[in-house]
Amino acid sequence: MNDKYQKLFSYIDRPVVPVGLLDKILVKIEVAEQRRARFRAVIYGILAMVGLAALIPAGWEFFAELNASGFTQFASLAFSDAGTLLVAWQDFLLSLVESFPIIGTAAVLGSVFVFLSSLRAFLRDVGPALHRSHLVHA
Amino acid sequence: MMTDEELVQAYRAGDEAALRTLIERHLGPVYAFVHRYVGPTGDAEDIAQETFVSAWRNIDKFDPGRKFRTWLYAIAKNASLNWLKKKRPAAFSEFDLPTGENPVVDTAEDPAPLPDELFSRTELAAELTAAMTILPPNARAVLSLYYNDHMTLQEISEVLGEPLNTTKSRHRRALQMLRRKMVEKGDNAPKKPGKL
Repeated sequence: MNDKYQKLFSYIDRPVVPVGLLDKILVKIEVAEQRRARFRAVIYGILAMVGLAALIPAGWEFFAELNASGFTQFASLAFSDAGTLLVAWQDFLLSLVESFPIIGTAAVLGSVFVFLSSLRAFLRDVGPALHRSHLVHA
Repeated sequence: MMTDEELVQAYRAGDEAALRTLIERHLGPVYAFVHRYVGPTGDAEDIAQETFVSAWRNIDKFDPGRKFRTWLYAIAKNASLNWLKKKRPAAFSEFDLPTGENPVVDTAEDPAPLPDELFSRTELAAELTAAMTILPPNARAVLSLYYNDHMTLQEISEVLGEPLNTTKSRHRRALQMLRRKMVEKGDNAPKKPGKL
């Protein structure tokens, strides 16, 4: 039964693709690609600046915490009194960990991460944002 | 020759020529499908453009485990459907339920075979094209995908986003409708000389 229908459909008129349709599609994609890259570049550029700006207060916070916690004093002990350190190394390590400026370090690392990852994404998108791809002539 | 799925991977890896190859490969069949889906008065050119731009936008979401062709045709079908909804807000079939089911389609029986005299008509191609335009869009889609694009009924059900059994019934019902339209014209149709 299907053979006859198959034969019937071999007679059907095949629509002809309009001349230039391929180029129209490629140009549309190029334009959309550039628009998307511009949008992303702006967003990531702003994020990178925010990450960079956040490094300043994060750095201040880090050094303030570092000074207030006595971490540097404990750390300097390692160089000035190595004998005591060897005897009570467990207490020493615990003191170091307790006095470590966790919030300040997290703030600095977070800011650095946001800045670097945004900068990477910005650099990836800035090229396509400024120059349209060449799909038509690919 | 690279498969569609390999071309998608290549494009994702930064090979822009792969995208162009993919579009070139599918432009003709997708345009023909859209043209048949929306009918001759439809804006097949715009819908085809929208289909490929939409496919490009969502290419990162494409699952390489699926067939690219069925994925692309599903986008083309949705784009065509959106166009039809804008142009014709009424239901595509008076038998469609709000749930999307169609009890008439789901209970269709096998169509009768085509009469041999049909193939002796001089205007068969034009008659067939005209008969196809009278069918509902989903019936046109099933027939076009099955007989022109040589998709399996499973692939067509994926394109249309419906259960396989519904597609099978839709296919049978579409053939019945097409056969009726073609046979109705039989008496008035001119015949090829020597075949009478």
